[in-house]
Amino acid sequence: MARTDQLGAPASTVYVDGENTLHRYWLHAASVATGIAPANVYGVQQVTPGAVTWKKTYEAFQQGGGERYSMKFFPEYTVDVQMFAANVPAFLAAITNTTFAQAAGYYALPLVFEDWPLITWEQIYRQSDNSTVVGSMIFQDLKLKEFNFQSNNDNNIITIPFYSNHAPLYVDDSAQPVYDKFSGDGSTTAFTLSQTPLPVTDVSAGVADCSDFVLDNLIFCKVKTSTQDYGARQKSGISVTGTTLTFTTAPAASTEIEVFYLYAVA
Amino acid sequence: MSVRAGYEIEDIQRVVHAVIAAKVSTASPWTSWTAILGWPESDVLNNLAKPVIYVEPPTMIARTVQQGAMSSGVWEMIVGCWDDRKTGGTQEINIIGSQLLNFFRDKKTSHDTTKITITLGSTTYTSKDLIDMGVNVISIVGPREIATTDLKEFRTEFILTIRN
Repeated sequence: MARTDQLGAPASTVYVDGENTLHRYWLHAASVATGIAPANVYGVQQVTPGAVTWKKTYEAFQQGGGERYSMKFFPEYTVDVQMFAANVPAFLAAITNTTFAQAAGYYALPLVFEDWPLITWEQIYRQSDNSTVVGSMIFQDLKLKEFNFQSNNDNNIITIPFYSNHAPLYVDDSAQPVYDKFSGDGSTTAFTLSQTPLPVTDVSAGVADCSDFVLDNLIFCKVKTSTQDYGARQKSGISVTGTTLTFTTAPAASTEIEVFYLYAVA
Repeated sequence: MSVRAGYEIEDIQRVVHAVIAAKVSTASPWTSWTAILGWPESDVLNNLAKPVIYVEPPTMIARTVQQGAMSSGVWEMIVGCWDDRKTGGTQEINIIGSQLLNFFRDKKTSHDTTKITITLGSTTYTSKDLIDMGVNVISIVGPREIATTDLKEFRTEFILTIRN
């Protein structure tokens, strides 16, 4: 390597244009099943994720001691989705699991939302053949913030603001996500995943106290009781061997177990 | 990236022609037409029973760069349609043009599922698509009507913009 090196020209395969990017999501309120199908998102003009910021940081030190030790808690970032106004109502109804359709007798959709994770989003970067996947971004546990419809003279694009408290991930093109849901019965401790989870880099090794991120290669494993609105992330008490997810203590009857992970593209 | 450095004008033209030739050899209504490499001279037209789609050489109109490197090209090329049979009327030329527009707007079909076999230099590439060959058609605009000496002949041209 010399300071005078000239690199080769950019190959046509390095371009990843937004028009070729597919957006889809997994609905957390989906019925119990394995390999739950994601829903494609129509009308997307742009998706703008913000950088992760930390809502709480500490510096630990002792008097007369050495260097300070920094600890970070609670990552947070925004994800703004811009789409055609005409596509927004159906999208909102779908992700909030709300009935909004003339045929069903519901004629208005209130624009106020609960503050809990509704969906996990994937934006898939592809080459210009709309077929060759370059990689994808996962925005897990997106919560919907309040917003409103504006009006402008040109094509009306609405920004739908989300945020998340769990780290975004970049996924290699050879892996893809899968979302499995199981029912607990109070006695079963072992559940068979639909695929074999692939290793995921555990950021807790590099970022202090972000240990809710990866547990036995699961991006998340949650348990939701029948009275809860959303599942609680499991930070211990589970293990995965092959396709078997084992709980130390059987999830209670009527609970829903949500598992999100990556598996190899065939 | 199979288009050869230093042979881009020749290779891009031949790759795009090969893709259109693959269409006219297999898919209806494309089988009603013929693909021609370059400008169709009158003796060529006279020997063909079908309307032609002709593919002209590309022209470099811009470049894209990465820092510390050579640049790559943005090209424009003309793809024209010519119905000289004097029987198709405006309907035939409009169908040819619409099919061309739709083909290149459908990126999966034009850049992935349509396969070609082509020899560039001494290398033969088998069952490749546009992306494999390093040709990315990022837009098609047109048609532009071209006057003909015979009122019963119809000719239009489209401009493809290509990254390579």
